Amino acid sequence: MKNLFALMFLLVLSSCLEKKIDLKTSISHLQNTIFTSSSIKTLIKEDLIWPEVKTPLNVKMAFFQLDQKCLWGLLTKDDLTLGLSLMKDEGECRDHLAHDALWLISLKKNSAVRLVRDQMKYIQIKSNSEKAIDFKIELPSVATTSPLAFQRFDDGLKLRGIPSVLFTTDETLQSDQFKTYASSTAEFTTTRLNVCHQMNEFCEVIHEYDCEKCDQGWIEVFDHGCPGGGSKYCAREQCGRKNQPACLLGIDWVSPDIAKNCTIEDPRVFCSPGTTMYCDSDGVAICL
Amino acid sequence: MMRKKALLALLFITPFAIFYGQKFLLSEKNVQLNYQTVKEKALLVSNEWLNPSWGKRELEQNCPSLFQKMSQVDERYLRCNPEYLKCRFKDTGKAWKVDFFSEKFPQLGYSPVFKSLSHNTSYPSKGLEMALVINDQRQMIFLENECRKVYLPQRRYLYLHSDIKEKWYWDNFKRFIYIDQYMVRNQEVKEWQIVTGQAVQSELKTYAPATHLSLSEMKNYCSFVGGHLLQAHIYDAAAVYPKQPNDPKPDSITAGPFPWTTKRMSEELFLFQKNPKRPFKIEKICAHMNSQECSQFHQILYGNQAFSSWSGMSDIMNGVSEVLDNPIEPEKNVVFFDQQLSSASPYFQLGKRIHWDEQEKEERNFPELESFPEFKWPLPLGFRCMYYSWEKATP
Repeated sequence: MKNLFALMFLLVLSSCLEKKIDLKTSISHLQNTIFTSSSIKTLIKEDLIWPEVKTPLNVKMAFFQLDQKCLWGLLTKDDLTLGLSLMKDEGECRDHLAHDALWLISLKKNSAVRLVRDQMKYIQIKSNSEKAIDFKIELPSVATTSPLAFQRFDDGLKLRGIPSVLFTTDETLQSDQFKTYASSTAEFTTTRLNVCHQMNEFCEVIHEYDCEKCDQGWIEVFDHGCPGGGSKYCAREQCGRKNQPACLLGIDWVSPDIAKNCTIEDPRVFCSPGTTMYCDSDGVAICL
Repeated sequence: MMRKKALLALLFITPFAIFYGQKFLLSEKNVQLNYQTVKEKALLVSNEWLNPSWGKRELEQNCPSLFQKMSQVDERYLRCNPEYLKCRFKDTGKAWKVDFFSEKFPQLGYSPVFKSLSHNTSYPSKGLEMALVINDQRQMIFLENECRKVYLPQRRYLYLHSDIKEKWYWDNFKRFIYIDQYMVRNQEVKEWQIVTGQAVQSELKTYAPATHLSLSEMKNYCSFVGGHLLQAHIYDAAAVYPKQPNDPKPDSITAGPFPWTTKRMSEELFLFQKNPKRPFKIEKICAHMNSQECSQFHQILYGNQAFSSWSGMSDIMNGVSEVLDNPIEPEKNVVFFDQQLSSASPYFQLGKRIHWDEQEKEERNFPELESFPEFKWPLPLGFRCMYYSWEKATP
């Protein structure tokens, strides 16, 4: 009987010891979330050892956006917490920090999280105590991404952990967050197309770039002569043709004195023979 | 006594329940797959996808049917090639394997994925779906098909106008344009047709350029893979050898008649075309092109690196004519580099485009080709796509 109780005691003890695995599991969750993300957006401005002296108490701070999830940190009087929240609709990470966390990692106050931004190398969780947890979670690194994979089709924010490989989960495939816009083959002048990047005449962005959402390609038009280029639409390229946007001739051939916005017979664009260039009511160079 | 036994049993079971219950709850699919192991296998697959370790010699030994299919295509075409990957990972041993979802499209034996079909931004514009199976656990991955595109450097360019007096300059500064390195192949068209439920034309050479599509089908294909039919001025930019390749803003831009030279009058082929009676060593020029006379020197090899331009665009004078979207001169929409033509033909020059009425591909549909009765019709017309990308301007 004594042996039985001793065995039971050991088993109960071992199940209690599992609480340590809890932390490891949370780390593993974080690792897998990073690993299976198709896009990683860094939200910190510089390398960071968190918390810093100036870190405010009880304020969640967004570190990374991993697809539609936000990784944040929270410093309280007693401890540090890393959490991952799901973004429930469009917007920035900071708008979604109030949502319930998918999981949390609780750390002792004397821990530190090192976030290396420049090369997106790793997240390191360290503690000063002897029995420190010391986890290093690799982030997809630019160095391991082929230059072409980094440049093509993406918005400059997507990084691949392994060249050309995208890890997927059922969750990422089913989310409505990832729905595309239809690309149009219709006449530009008579149809309202899906815009995927738009500036106003003051070159203020009124639609952030998301042309990777166009399911069958996108086109750029000439409108306000903004430094970042013209507005973009999900559409098939038919530039220069009747009722379509004018084709881009480039920016290197014009005098610096030329008006920034679209002008009649603008030298920065061209139309096909038999059509004439105009600027429409939105200031887009079109061919009629 | 019974109650005591039940209590003891309960006491005995509880720790196990806590222990294994917790384990069960923690053992989600993602957690059980070891990060390092998955990463290691994914790297192996990625390496073979981007930089195949096998060449044609290994193919002949291990995958004779693929070797056969590859007979007319350059070894470089093994990159981003699902059939190669299937062959390469058919025997990985017991510890892990690759599931290519061959049952999804039995005619292909693998599962290509397209963003345009899924309407899901998580999908690549064009890629391959597969699962790494490690210890009965599965991790799904997509491989993006990024190997077969070339980047058009940002610089000043010249469009080769049919009126040679017309100097037609343009530039692509601050624009990111990518071009298919090769003409679109029958296998790629087959994938598109199968996944979209279209009829598939059989008995086509798998990796030869697709020359059987109508103009609207070519445009539909390019849209489907997230691009556009290649425009004529962009073709010229990628094909014409720049006189000062390191200066993106040269004071003057001139164009040689062939992709491998900036010179005109000292170029043997050009002089031969001007005067076909002039003595000329044809075998020398056949290293760069496929013309009627070149068949005696070499078998056609599509995607041949020797036929590439300065930008890396291949399949230029490879003996297949190519359809372009030409907003500058809409009537000049075909580059006429057919292998039935003699090297002496003036059509074997950059910028010498002809008109196709976009209907059938018979002699009557090419108004400028009335003097080619000996040709085999319909004329094979290949095509390729171009793609736009965008990067946030740096302040």
